[in-house]
Amino acid sequence: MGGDQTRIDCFGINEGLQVPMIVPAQNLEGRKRRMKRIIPLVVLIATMIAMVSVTASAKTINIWTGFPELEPFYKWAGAEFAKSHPGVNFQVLSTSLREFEQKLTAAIPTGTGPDVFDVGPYIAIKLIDAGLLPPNPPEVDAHLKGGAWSKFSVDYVTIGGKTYGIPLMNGSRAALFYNKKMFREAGLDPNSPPATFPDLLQAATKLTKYDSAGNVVRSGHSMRISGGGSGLTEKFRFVLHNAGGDVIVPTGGGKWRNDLDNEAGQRALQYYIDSIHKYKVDDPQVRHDSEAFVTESTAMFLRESWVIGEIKSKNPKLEYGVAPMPKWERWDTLAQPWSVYMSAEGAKSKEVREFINFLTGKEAAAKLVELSGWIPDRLDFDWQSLVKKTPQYQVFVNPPKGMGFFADPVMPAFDEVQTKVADRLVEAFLDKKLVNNQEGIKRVVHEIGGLIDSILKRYGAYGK
Amino acid sequence: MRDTQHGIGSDTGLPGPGASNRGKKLPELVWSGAVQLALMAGAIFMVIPFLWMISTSFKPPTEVLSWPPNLVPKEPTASNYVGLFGEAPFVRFFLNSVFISTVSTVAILATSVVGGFVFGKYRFPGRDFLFLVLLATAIVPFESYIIPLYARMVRWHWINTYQGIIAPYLIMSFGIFLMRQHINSTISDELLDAARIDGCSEWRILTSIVLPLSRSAGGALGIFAFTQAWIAFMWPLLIANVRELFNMELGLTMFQFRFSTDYGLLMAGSVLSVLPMIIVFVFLRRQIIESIALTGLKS
Amino acid sequence: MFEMGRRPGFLGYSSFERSKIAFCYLALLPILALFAILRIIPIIETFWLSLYDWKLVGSVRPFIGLANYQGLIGDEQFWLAIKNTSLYAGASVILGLTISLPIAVALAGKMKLSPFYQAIYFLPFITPMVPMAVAWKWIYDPRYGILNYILSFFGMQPIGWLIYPEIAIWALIAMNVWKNLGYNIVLLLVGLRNIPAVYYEAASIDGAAGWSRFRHITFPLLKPILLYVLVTSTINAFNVFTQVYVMTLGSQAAPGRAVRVLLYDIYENGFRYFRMGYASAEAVILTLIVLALTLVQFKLVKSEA
Repeated sequence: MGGDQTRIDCFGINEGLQVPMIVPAQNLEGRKRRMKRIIPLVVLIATMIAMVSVTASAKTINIWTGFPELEPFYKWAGAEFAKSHPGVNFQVLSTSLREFEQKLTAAIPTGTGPDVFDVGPYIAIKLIDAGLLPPNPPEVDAHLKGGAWSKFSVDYVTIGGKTYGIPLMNGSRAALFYNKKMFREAGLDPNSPPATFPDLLQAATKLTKYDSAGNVVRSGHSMRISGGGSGLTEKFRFVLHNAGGDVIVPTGGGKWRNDLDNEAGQRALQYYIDSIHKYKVDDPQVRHDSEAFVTESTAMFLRESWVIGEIKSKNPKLEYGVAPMPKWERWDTLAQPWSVYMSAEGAKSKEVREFINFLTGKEAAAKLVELSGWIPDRLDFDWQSLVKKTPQYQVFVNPPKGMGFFADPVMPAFDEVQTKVADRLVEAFLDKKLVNNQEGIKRVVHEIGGLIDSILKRYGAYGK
Repeated sequence: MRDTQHGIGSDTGLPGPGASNRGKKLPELVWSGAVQLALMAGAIFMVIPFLWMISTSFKPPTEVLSWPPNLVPKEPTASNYVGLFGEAPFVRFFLNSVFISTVSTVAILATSVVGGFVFGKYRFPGRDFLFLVLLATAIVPFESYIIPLYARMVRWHWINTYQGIIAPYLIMSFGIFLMRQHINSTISDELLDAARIDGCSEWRILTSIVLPLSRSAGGALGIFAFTQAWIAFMWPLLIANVRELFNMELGLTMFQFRFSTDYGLLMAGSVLSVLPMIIVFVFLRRQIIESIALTGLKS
Repeated sequence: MFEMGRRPGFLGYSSFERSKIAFCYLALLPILALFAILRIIPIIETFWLSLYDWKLVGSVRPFIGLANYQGLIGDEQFWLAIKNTSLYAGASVILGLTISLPIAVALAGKMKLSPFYQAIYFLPFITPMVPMAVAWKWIYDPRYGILNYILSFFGMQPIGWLIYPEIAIWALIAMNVWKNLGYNIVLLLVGLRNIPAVYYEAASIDGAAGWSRFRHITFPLLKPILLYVLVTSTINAFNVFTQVYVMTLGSQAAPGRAVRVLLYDIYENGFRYFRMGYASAEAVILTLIVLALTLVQFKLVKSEA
């Protein structure tokens, strides 16, 4: 073996080290093989160039969504639209909400984002604020103001006198999903679900199942307690708001301050701590969210109407009911228009505009419920036949008297506030030392309040 | 005699710190047995993640979420793999990875050989300064100047393009350093001078003498460059906004967003992403280990 | 006559020398241009950008001096990122070396299976990060993961590896150690195999064997390469991003705060909150840390040489 050697002289460090290199004898043999390898390589590069040109050409409308369950709806809408608009095709990219938001905020400023996307108001306002999202062109604006949307919705998407995006669906309107079978088994009345948060916790203690070692195997109330991202804070707000507080509240003149460094905030955090550690109705280690509810690994959880669609497709036999958001000091549920937007004008803008109008039109609204479970934001929808078909929609389309709504504040700092508060909350939720520790809870809430105010100050949006 | 010809991956090790094979005493035998046992246990630990991944990828959904888990699927199914191709264009991701890595490797090899040759065999004003500057860039981690580089790609409208993804992977200061060392030690000045007397131009010397003689170091560098481009993540994450441009790493990540709890499907996707590298590793094991040892020690 | 070869102290250039120099510049031009555009200018720009309040878009880009750095000092999340990254880097490197050194010593001896073991231990290193991170997330699954299953044989209760902040970072460290073990082993093997056999021969005459031989011959001779691997691995670990990004995804994933590392913080500040100037300031800090580590490395190398 003849060694083709190189002396290693790495800044003098390995003086004298001998590292054998690839042996040339093998290279001689390999030379022929290498020649053969070049041919497929050339073919490959040629195909690649072809691929690049394909991507660049054609009228492809790119759609992004943070809701995988909306993908079938977008695909249907694309196929329908293409019937009357030959030559237009669609690409739908769906990821989970948090990653989608991150990708979108990075892509939009470069003008390489999607043509059509749906996103929460807290993200949209950042883009609008940075001048990255154009206001609706006249015909889309006219479509919005044609009477199909409530004044609340239109006002909500009006910023500085201009409208941005078209409300596609009601983005939250969370309610309490509960498993009727488990209620009966636990000796609870399946027709009178808990109406207040203390009731909810009490019912949850009866519904939780443990193994012999005392670990939760089936949660009574599945809460969002791990992971991260703004969604976690959003779920926390269900409790916090009805406890009498909120993450931020306006102080007038476009200024805001935190509203959780107070008794309401303490109560809400205490509720989580008690649920997780004191009464153990949930545990970070069990399955969570809709997955848990669909697979009967939890008895109750708070979520939006799309879960109905999910249950229909994944476990249609599930015996469940949907009750209004529990009350406490207040009785509201988060409800806000979730809109579709188009990015800046371009070669495809005419088609994109028409597509947005189609997507938010009457025909598509029916399909939206059918394919995703989300409820459209339009007023002219036939709610009664929907409820007749699937009674669980009742709470969503006919909210009980006395229950109000609250919405995400439309201000640029809110995304950062929600995301960073979520990080702090996760830590607090898992902190066993906070059980029966009023001082500790007070301190955590105070810290989070300070964090919120400091972010607001940086944005110049803090007011007393 | 000391044998300097063995490769790192070869089995003709010199009598190292371990006991020699001949004339072992009983305690030594026990000791070497224990060492063997420990090594085997370690090796099993190293491969468990792979086995677990492969095993899960062949399980139907009900078996994935069964407790206690079966290491060998009771009812093996290929449905996860079938489902995979329906859900995401993995072939496209794979081709993208191959394309990006190939272009990057070729560019790095070309710039490194030329740079290494010029810096190693010529004297010209400013040489040492230029060489030092190029080397110094290697100290600063790529991710730390990703923001201005990204802003430049935005200005050039290179976001969402192959050239945008590939650009930072065209050069490698370590490659120039490695090739310079190699050329200095394997190609004598006399050889170059002889070629000049024969009337070779400097370009000709580069293509017909230096290039062929740089093969072995080039091979090592090539493997290093290829793997580096293959595992690129943060940069493509910022640059590629359409699925058509995703590499394997990004494709799998986006796929994970979508099916975050469907582990059968996710593991099938992971197996698919790992497979090309493992196949290459099986065939080029020695070269890869040597290349990494060499490049690792020099960078 | 042509002037051949190099001549130190050669002042005036002949026409032949001049053509050679022209060749040098011509050949280097594209390379230097690429380096300028893709490396040198962006590095300088990072420092410069860190003095501005820049939102990536819009023409407004006020100069704010060191305000970004002042912000960093008061930014609890930034300090957390520094702390986590240091812990991650320090722990994975120390653990990685302590585990890989005995393995490398064992493999350096005459052993038939040595190449086989090398290949096995090296396998994780050459596999791409994303699929392995996804696989480890599944290994760590609190309910169905194989790790908790294995531990259950030892009577342990299931643990939420990625869920609890104080454990999550160690879960990431463990994965990193697993992934880079083979790399350490290969580098250490090079060092071990280059220890001249005469040392051992001399030692065996003196009756040194086993531990004392390791302590008095192997270790001191291996020290330069150990230090080298130590510092370079630390630098590499400081650039951790991919596995954190992948493993914090989803509602059952690792908590953001516990595993927040520098690059992730830079990424989030820059590309989610559009705070490009601020993120650049963080990047400058990262550069300084790596620079300091590199200096330490040079120092150690010099003192060892």
